[in-house]
Amino acid sequence: MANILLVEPDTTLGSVYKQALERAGNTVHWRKTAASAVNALDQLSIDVLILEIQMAVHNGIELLYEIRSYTDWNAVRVVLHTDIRSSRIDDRARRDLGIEQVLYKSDTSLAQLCEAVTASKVI
Amino acid sequence: MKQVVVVGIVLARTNYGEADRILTVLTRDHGKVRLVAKGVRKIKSKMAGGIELFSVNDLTYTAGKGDLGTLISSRLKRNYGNIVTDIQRTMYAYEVLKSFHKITEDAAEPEYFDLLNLCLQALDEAVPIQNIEVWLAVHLLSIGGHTPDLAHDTQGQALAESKCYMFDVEHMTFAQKDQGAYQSQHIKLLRLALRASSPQKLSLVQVAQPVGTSVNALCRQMLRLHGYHA
Amino acid sequence: MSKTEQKDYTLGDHSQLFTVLAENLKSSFLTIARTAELASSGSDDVDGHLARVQAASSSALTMLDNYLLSLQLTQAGQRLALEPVSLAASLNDIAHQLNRTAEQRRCDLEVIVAGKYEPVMAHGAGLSAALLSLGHFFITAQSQQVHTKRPVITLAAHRTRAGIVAGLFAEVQGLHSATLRRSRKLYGRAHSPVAEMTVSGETGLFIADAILQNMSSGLRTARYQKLPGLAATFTSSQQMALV
Repeated sequence: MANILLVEPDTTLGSVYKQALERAGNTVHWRKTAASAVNALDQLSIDVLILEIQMAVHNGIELLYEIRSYTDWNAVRVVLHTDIRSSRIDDRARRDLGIEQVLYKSDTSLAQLCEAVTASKVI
Repeated sequence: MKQVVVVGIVLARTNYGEADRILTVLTRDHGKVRLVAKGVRKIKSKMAGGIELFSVNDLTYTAGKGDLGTLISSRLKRNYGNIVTDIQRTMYAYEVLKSFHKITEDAAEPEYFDLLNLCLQALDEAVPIQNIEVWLAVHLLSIGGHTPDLAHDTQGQALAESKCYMFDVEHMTFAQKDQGAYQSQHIKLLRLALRASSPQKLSLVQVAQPVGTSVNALCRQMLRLHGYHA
Repeated sequence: MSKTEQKDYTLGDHSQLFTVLAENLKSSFLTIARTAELASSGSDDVDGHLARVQAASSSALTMLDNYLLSLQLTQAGQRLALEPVSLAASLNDIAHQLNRTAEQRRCDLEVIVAGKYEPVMAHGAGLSAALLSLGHFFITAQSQQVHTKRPVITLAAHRTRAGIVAGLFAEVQGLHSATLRRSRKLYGRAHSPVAEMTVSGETGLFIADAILQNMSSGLRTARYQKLPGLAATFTSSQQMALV
């Protein structure tokens, strides 16, 4: 199963997603801000980043550009799990940032979120 | 070693070794420079200010061998912090930085710095992205000597209020054509954009969405032809 | 803060406030939906999940109630009927109402009313709605930030030369006059107008801002014993305080 970095600013939702992903057999590290996420990437070996791009102070797009500017993190798979509809995520940004999937929170059940992690491991 | 003091906008950051970062900076008076910022990867807050994106900074560096200088100090001069309150504006801002990085590959006159600064300022002030795109496109083309002819058509006739045109991208001129995609309101928008000293000034004019959209598409075509797109 | 920097919440802005409200309510409903899904999938912590669902539902209902009240109280040309209101009683009552939400979001509340104060002239229900909304905003904001120790939100009142200042104070990142100014400017024009502090829960800030403009000096940044916060200044009632 995957080593996941979950970046979710909402306390209650973060706890729910973490529990669901752990019950699916993953190891989950949960952070609420972009800065703490960067620190976590520095300290841990992460396979998949599940990311809400709407965050205080630094948003998820900034975080992704920051992450992709480090060659040692280019292999980290990125799944956006966000309040923003996927149509509003620029295609070019998706390609440049290596975003594998964009999941719209309102339409994505916990089961679908767990499936997305598994799917993102397929090359 | 001689210290150089510049005002610059960071276009890109990449990692360099274990602890350092390379910053690509567009400066007003020294063109585009590449600087090593030593030890910044180890600082506690890796997204700390001073060398943040979307800001104008006072930077002091020493020139090194080759094209890589060493950053000594940085001071935040102006932070366009509103940009990141909106995801669309954040994405567009990164695109703009990337475009300027590409455009200034060979040379970077002071006008490019001023243009980028005005662009970031407009984004910071929540000027509609569509307006910024048109304004930026015509001014980039203008700096590069590729200003479209907004006065005459391909036959040398003055552009007329009542006529329809297509755009000859190769000659950067409008050509008269029945049922052509462009009419007076498209041409007026381009003229206004060219005359406006900032995107904010362009925003004082109300533009119908379809006109803005098709003018933007035209501008992207022009920029692509002249090698401006990242 | 000067009057010119205060937002003028006219009727036309209600659609913008409704948009902010809708975004924040979406967050509450998402919490309810996903928590219920987790609870129904054989989780051990059913009681915990039910408590979270209850908290999210209450928070959403309160937000809606306060929004509706703010619509009533901010109608153009309306003069609010002000009455003597005890700030100490109001702050204590608000703290009591916010307690469960604060628990859920892992922060503490404290009420400090330094000294004895006469009542102030305010609209009772409006003041409660404003303080409650502000409380939700602060609780949400702090929950989305990283802290080295359990955060405390202080509800405080103290006397100044201008009058009696009452509001909420906390070590919350990003709380400056510039933040407030900027958020009023971006209101309705950015997805997260207060992104320096939080990306949801802003409804509370704008509801409080709208209501307090009509009964006090309006919401502004302030400090209480070195803590940054948001507060309004009220005029004392002429009525003598009963001891």
